[in-house]
Amino acid sequence: MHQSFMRYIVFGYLFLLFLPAFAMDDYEAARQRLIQTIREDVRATVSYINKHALDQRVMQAMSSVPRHEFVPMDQRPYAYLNRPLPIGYGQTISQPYIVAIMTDLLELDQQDKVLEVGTGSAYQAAILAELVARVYSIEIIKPLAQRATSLIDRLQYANINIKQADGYYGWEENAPFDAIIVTAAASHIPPPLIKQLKPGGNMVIPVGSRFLTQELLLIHKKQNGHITTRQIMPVIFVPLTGDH
Amino acid sequence: MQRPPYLSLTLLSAAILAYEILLIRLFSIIQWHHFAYMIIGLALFGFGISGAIISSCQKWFINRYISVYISIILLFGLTAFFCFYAAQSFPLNIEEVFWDISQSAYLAFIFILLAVPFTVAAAGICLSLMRYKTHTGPVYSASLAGSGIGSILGVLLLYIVHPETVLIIISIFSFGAGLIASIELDKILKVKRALIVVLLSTLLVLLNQTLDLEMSPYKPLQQSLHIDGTKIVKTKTSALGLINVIENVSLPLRHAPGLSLNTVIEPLPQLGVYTDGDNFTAITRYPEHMGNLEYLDQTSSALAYHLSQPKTVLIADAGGGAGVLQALYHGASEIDATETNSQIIELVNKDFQNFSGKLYSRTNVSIHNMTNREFVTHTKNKFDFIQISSPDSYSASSTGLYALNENYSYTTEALKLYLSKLNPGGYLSITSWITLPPKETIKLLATAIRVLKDSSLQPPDLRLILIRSWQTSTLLIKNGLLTESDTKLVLNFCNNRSYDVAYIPNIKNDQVNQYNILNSPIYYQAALALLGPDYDSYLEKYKFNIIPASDNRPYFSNYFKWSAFGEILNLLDKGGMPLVEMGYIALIIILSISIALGVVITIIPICVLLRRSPSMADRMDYSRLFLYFFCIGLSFIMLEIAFINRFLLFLHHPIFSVATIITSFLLFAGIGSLNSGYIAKKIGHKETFFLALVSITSICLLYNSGIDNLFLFFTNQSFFIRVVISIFLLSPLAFFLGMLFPLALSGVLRKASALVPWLWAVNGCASVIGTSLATLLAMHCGFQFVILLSVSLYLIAILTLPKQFTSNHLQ
Repeated sequence: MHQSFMRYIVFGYLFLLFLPAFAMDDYEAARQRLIQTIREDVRATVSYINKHALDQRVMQAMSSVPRHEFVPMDQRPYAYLNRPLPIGYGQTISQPYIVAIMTDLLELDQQDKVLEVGTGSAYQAAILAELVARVYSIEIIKPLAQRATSLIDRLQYANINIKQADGYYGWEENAPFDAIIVTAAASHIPPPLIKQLKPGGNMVIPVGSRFLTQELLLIHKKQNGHITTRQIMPVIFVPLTGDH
Repeated sequence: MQRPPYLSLTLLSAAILAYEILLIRLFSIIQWHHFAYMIIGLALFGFGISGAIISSCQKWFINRYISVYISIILLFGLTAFFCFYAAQSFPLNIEEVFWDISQSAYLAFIFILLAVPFTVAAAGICLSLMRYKTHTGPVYSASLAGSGIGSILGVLLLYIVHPETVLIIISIFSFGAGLIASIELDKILKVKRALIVVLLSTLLVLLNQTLDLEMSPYKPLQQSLHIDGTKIVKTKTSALGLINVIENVSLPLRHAPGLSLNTVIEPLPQLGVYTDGDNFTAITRYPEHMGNLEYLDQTSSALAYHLSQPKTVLIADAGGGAGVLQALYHGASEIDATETNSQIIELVNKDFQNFSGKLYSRTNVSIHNMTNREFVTHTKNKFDFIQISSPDSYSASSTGLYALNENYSYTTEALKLYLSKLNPGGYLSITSWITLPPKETIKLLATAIRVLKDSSLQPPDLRLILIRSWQTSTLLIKNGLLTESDTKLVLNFCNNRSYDVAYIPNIKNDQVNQYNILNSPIYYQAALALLGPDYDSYLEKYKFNIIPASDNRPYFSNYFKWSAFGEILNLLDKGGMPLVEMGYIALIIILSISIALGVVITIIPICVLLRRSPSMADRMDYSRLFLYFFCIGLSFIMLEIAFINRFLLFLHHPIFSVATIITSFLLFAGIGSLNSGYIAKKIGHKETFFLALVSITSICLLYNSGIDNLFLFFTNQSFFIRVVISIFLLSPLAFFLGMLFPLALSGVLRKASALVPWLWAVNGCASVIGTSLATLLAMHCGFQFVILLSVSLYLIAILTLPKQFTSNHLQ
């Protein structure tokens, strides 16, 4: 309660400070600037993600989803900054750069069915919904699930289904999925999720803390059912120099 | 003149130290452990600030000494309470510091708030030193002795009651000290003051009912509690941490790091055990059939059980008991386990005995409430298998938060000790987190290879196995040579679980990096380079510090290297923030702020003094006095820190050892301070300085070279005997260390008393700077160097002290 009070005072002050700037600049322009930043960051990390640019469809989705709708009111002035933002309940809306890379790594087709574990703000679900036929999203925290459901209804994302449940068991009735994205922390990858991934499908998990994504784990299920993983750092950093 | 208020001074000093210990505990709970050290380290600047404030209007304070002194003690009690609650009301999230500038502002506000009680309390001690010019030694002695008592008092209270309650106890304790001060100085108990104290105490007790600790919402415990059905079923508190046990009947916890992606087996239901809302261990429901534990065979740590059938097993840092269950599943007949926190053992064996099956009391399981280093040092048994877990929790491991953590379980000496406790053909297994870029696992590998190269266990390349999943790695060292059949078993184990073999003897390039694919097979490359002649150059070229930790530099989790820092800084806005080693950077920030604040705090008062009494500048050599008090402040704290760490290896228990050492150090320093005047009278002022210097130097040099042998000699004695030996060893050193401050200060009081607050500030600032400097130097050069440097600083101090303060006519 005390923290919230202090937070409101500080954010209220900052909001007033930034208000004139936002009156002049609309969200659309801010979003386009953000897209440009992501493009530049991707070019800078080309050797690690093995791509010169992200899938054009992913970038299109990023530029059309209104991120400011998915963040709390006090965070709206920062909605188009390339950074994670708190959304309450100890959760965050991911950094757009990380969202873009994760979505790209899933290698989605228009007719795909995707499972998301950890709806959070529903921003990632909205990005996916722009790219695939159906998104199934599970959120374990009840108030977040309720908020996300009413938000996607308001924004008319008809191809997103959200349920409040434990993501550990996936969504058996709608399995298998072409791709799975897990944004909730877990000590291990739940076996039911591996089972619900279609052969040839990808699963992506960000590893690290809420505000600092250490790496992205890409799990691929081969046609023969065998599993491989790739660990991807969202940044170029070779820990060794020299000729070893 | 009145007798100095010794009792209230002792109690005030005790309250300050207990408050300092409490704040570290409170901030470890609501924020993170190392952040707590950072913020409290800076708050101690209150000691320096108090000197600066008194310096600016010392006459006003001295003329009203009695009322100011009593008010100060009461104010400390009030500010200790209110400043903490005000500080925790800021929504600080240390991880957002890089993203959000307002977080830096929160940090600054918290620092200022927490510095207030220390400033207030330190002013009381400084004023007393100024007021009782002829009693410098006894007054300073009361302060040191009080601090010593406060250290042990703070720790004991944390074992008895919750930290919030300790806060209120310290406040009321201070009010009591205020009343005692009133009796000591006024000779009667004034009813008005007594009423104020009763009123304030009642007010705080009532307020305390309405205030709670507000843990960061980003701590894992808080996040778990947002899940429907999750509830805290048990809370325990001690100086080692606040333990919360959570349960969710409808959505049971399942903690199984490193579980194979091939498995379809679900872990058994568990209770979650969080320490300070963060460090996690799970208590697993005891299975009806051992077969229910099969999932534990699907983790990388199970490898050793497939290479041999170990009967005698040691599980280090057993926590909730997953390692013990794994050993039972694999048919171990005699299991020893260590756990430092007795309350975790109680949870398993007593509070949740029906759930855990009283795991640690089973016929073939023995639990030892001690550190694994202590157990291995004392045990006469040998084992077929020793299992050690990761040095850090995952979050700490990936963000470098534990860089400042002294850890004697992963040093080269510790590994050598573990290996000496293996039966022929036995395995030592260390499972750690896989991080990207790789740090922890490669450092463990480098440590193991160095130990093997330096020992008779040759050749190292035929004794090592390293495997990894996407999440964990397991390093095995065999007390014997690996056979072809062993390597086949490793390959089979890994293939069945989609784990990668990073190193086994004679492995080829095309056999690695198969399942959990990295851009390059860096673990394999590291093993080859470290096993070959390129060992040193590999360590040097690697962008993180992977030089093995030693008992002299026990900072396993410090991976920071300055050479890579520039590159990491350039990557901050391109997803590179997790590369920053937060712990080390925090230390550098504290040290830089400490030095900057130290300059401000000591320069301002001296400017004021110079303006008021310009003639003083002609008589006194300010710079030499500055150097003296700065050097003794710096070296006292540096020696204290260095000896805490040296004795930690002897006493082992992380809390009681530190409390014992601090208490004996301060108490004997207090006795030294008390007797400094008497000795000076007996043998002469100058000679006393000389005696102290020679004694400190000799003792330090002697301990630096021979204390390990002494520890070894007494290592098998009981904890109590070891405590007595430690006190016996520390007492002469502390005695002489305690003499130097009052000896010089008594001279200053006679010659130029106006300088006292300034010198108090100089000494206080030096102590704060010394705290972080000692850690930084120990990280780079080791504790032995810190001790040698401190001795040199004492030498510089005494050589630079102006002669008029060492001359015999002061008597």
